[in-house]
Amino acid sequence: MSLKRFDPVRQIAWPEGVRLTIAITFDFEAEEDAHFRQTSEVPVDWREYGEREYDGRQGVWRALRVLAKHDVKATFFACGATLENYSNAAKAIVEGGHELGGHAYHHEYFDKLSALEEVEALNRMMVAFETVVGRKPDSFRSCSPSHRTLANLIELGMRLDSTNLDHDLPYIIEREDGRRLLEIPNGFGGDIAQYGHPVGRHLSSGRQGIPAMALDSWKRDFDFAYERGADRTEMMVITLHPYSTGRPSRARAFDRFLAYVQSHPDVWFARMGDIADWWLSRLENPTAGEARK
Amino acid sequence: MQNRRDLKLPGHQVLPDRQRAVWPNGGRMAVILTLDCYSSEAVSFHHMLASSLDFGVNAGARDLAALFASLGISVTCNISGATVRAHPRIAAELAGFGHEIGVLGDRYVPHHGFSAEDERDAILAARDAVAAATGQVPRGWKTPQSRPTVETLPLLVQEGFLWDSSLRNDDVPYRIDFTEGSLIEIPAGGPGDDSGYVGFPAPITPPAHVLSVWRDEFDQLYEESVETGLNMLVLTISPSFMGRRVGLGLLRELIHHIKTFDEVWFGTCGAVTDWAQQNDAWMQEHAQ
Repeated sequence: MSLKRFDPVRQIAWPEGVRLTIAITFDFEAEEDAHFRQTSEVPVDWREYGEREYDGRQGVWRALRVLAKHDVKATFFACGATLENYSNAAKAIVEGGHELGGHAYHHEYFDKLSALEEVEALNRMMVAFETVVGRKPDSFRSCSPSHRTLANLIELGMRLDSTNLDHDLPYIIEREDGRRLLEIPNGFGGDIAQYGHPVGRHLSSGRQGIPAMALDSWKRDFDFAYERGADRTEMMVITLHPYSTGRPSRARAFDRFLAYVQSHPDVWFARMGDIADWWLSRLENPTAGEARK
Repeated sequence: MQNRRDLKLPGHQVLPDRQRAVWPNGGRMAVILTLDCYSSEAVSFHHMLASSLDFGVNAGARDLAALFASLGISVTCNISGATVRAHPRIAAELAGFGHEIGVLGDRYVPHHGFSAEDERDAILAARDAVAAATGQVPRGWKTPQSRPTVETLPLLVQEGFLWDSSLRNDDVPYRIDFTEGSLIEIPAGGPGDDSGYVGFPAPITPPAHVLSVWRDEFDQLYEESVETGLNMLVLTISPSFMGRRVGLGLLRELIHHIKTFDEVWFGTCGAVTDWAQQNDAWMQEHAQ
């Protein structure tokens, strides 16, 4: 089914007094990524597996502590299997006032699955959310979407998606039957860009990024957004992973980043759903933007 | 697709009660320094990298061992079997400084792809080589590159090993129970492993940055232990690269920083194992 994507309506302003909206997002996937990439030809890399397990055992808890310290509410996009395996963490995320969105079931790369497998994975994710936290997610992010994914999300009744990297403000995606989804595009400078893949498959380990340099990059991103936010509608979405940023030295850089942001007035730390609430309430004509291919 | 349960490493995990437990000196923060000692004899290539590896057994490991001893710290030196066979004196020399000698596999290769038989042979060959060189049967093991198989840990238990440091999934040690017996797991972490920063050709990362990461690893774990209880930092040090002057200076500076804090315990993997076995801290089934 073909989709229409509309340009963001740039005239929409943030709530009174907000100069910059920032969304802190975590992809909570623990060992599911290592799991999905394992095939009968590729043996399990237990080093990578352990680096990923760290996520649910320590990393996500540390991320929650840092967020609580600054009273910042974030969005966690979680795999269904990860919720089942670390259900205490899932409940702590919800109890902490954070938003819990979907991130497939086994962190599937939908572009590598059949149409049926993709739908099955999404359905399994929905069931896991109902079982563990008692409700289905209405927001979603994929690690690797297929050309079918957005239409599937609309079919499931999702309200927003944050998979795409193609814009800097929210915009409407419309299916042929008129049903819509708000896309809140993902940012580009999160922890994957700063620290790299946790484990390389070579003699030496994966190169480890330096938290001070990640902090520098995040601050520069913020500074420019904050500067421009004085006279245009500006949004910063940062994507982190508890297995990576939840390591002690990196959580410390994240802690410093939140303190830096909070030293600036008029910044709104919004969950994805908060952004959607506001944006959709202001969007008199959802398809006012120009349709793109 | 395989069921993910099939992908779990075997064994039943029992975690420490972090709020109740304290380290042997009463502190909440442990710092475990470990050396990954392997030489050109443990790898299958022969070029400049192999030559740079030999700096470790020829000079770096000894200088690190002396530095730590001069600062009153015992560390765990994990040595590969092939390296000990080629350099039998080095293991005894490191032990002579009061450091623990563990096993870093036989050859420095990942274990995935090994059959259970090959793996047992490698474990026994390495253990026997270290035992012959030091006169003591080693109590602990680390799989080269931290890449074990599902068989590795049960095999270690069968062969009488008491601790393993192959996994990278936690900030506290824990016990893994198998039908054959138990093992204390002492997980290390990526940011604390120098192979992410140094190597051949070196240096990849400015030393000031490595120092800043390790100091932040310590500071963060130390600070949060007030809330979380027991914490542990395991650093993995390669004598071939960190045993050079820049690395020695960096480590000395780091240790001076750590020593300005109270309630810190510098332990070896063996000492963590003794503590775990004598302690009633092992209370929580793994159910996070």
